[in-house]
Amino acid sequence: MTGSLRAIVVLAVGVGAVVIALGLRPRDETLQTVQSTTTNPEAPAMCPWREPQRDMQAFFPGSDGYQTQTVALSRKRLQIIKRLGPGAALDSNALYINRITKQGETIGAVIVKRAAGEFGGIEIVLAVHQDGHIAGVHIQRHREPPSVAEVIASANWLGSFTGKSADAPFSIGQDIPVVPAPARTSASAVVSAIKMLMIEYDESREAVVVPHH
Amino acid sequence: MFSLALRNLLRRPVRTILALAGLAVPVAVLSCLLSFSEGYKSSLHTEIDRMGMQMMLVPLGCPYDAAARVLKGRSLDVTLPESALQAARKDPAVEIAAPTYTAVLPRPKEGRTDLWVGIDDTTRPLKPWWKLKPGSSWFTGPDSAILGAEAAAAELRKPGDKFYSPETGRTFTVCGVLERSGTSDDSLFFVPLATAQTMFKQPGRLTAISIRLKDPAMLSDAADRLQQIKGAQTVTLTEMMGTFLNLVGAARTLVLAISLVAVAISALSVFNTMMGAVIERTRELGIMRAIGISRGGAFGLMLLESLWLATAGGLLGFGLALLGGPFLERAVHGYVPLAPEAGLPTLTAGAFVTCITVVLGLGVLAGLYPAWQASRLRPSDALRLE
Repeated sequence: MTGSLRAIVVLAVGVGAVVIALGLRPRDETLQTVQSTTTNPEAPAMCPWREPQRDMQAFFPGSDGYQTQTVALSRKRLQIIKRLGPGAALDSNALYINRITKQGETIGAVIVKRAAGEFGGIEIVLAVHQDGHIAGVHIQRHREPPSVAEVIASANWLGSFTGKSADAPFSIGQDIPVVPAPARTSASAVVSAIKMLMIEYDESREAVVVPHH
Repeated sequence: MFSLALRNLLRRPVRTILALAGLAVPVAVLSCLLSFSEGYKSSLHTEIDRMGMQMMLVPLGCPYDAAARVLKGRSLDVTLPESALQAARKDPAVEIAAPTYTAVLPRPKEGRTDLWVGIDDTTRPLKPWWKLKPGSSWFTGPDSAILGAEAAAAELRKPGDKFYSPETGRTFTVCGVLERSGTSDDSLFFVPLATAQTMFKQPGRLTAISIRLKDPAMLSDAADRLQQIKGAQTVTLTEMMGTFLNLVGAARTLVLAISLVAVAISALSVFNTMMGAVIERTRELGIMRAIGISRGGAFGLMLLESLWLATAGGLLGFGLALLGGPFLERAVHGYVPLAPEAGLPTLTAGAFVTCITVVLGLGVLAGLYPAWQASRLRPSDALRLE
C-alpha cells in the first residue's frame, strides 16, 4: 500500500472511530434538566404574542402582516439602565420586535412583555407607531383578582399610555392616572414594564439585528 | 492482501461509492430503528423505576387511560373515595400510599389550562427528582402553593409572592418553586390535598393513589388484594409499560421487516459489484493464478474486497444514523404514545453491534459466490481472453 493511501485509510478509520465513540458514549441515566436558552439562568422566558390578528386590527387598522425581528441590546445596556433610572436592571439582552406592515411598508411595531404583577404574571402587548409614540396597550393575560383587573385592564387606564414617547415620565400620579390602593402594586409593575419597553425600543433603533434562521 | 483488496475497490470509485451508498442508507435506517426501540424501552423503564412506585389505584374505568392521565398531570372524570386510601394503607405489603387530587381548569379566553394538584407529605418520597429552589419550603399552611419550574417562570413567581386562582377566587402564597425536572411536574401548581378538595368542592375524594410496596416481589398479591377495594382498580406500572411496549412493538416489527428487506437488497448490490469485478478482472486473476496465487488466495482476495465494502458501508450507514438520528427522533417523538420525557436515544452500542454483525454477515454471503468463481478460474482459460 502506498504511503498516501495508507495515510488516508488510517485517517478515515480514526475519524470514524472518534465519531462512533462520541455517538455511543454512555448517557447520564439521571434526569436531565432542561437547558435554558439564555445565558442568565434566571432570565424570564420569551413572552409569546397570543392574538396578533386581533391586536393588529385594533392598533393598526388595515395592516396585513408582521415580521419578527430579534434585536441584541447588549451594547445598549448602559444607556438603557441610565435612562431607566437608579436601581433598574435589564432582564434580557434581546428585544423581540414584531414589525407591522401594510402593503409592504412598516407602519409600526408590537412588543410583548411579561411583568410580575402582585398575584401572577401580567402579559402586556405594547403597540408603537413608526414615530416612536405609543399606539396602544393591551393586557393579553393576567391573574389578578377583580379589584385589580378592573383597573389595570380598563380601557381608560390603558388609554392613558397612548401617544406617549420613550421620554415620558411614566409615573403614576404624574402622567399616569392614580389607581386605588389594592391595584397599586400591579399597576406599578405594568407602568415599569411599559417604560422599559419604550426605552429598549427607542435604543433598539441603533442596535444590532440578530438574523432569524 | 488487505491493501490489495482495498486498492482494487478504489480502482472503480464510482461503482464502489454507489455500492456503499446502497448499503449505507438501509443500515442507517436499521440502526435508528433498533436504537429507538431499545431507547424507548430503556427510557420507559428508567422513568417508571424513577417514579419510586410500583402501582396506582385509580377510579373504575379504563385503567391505562386513567393511569396515563394521572402520570401526565391530566384530570380524571371520576374520583376515588378517601376510604380507598385507608384500605390501601392497611395492606401489609404497602409501604407508602400517596393520595392526589388533580383538577384541570380551562381558561378559554386566555387560551390556557391551569393544572392544580393536591398532595400531602407522602408524595415526597415518590418524587426523588423534586428539588426545591433556594428560599423554598414545603407547604406552610392551607393557602400555600408550590409551583413547578415552568409554571413559576410563566407567572414570574418566587417564594413569598402571592398567587391568585381566578376561577376559585383563592389567593395563595408561593412557599416553594421546584427546580426544572423535565417532567410534567414543571407546569403544575401543587397545593395541600385538603385545599384542593375544598377548592374544587370534592371533600373526601381523590383522583389517584400512588403505591410503593415494601417489597416489589409482592406486587402480584398486593395488586389482587387492592383490586377488591370498592370503586377502585389497580394499575401496575409494569402492566402499563407492557401495554405501551406492545403498542410500539407492532409498528417496530413492521418497520424492522422493511429495513431488513432493504439491507438484504443492498447486499445484492455488493454481490453485483463483486461479480462485475470478477468478470472485469478475469485476465488479471488469471495472471495472478499463473504466477503462483493459490485458489484459496484468489478466494480470500475477493472475499476480503466484499468484506471491505460491507464494513465501509456499515460504518457509513452508522455515521449517517449519528448525523440524522436526532432530527428523525424529533420528528418521531411526537407520534410515539406517551413517549418518555427524556427523549429517545439516537444510537446505542447494541444497535451498532447488531448492524455491523448483520452487514458483515451479508458481506460474506454476497461475496461467497464471486469469490468462488474467482477461485475456479483456470489460468490458461483466463489468459486466453482478449
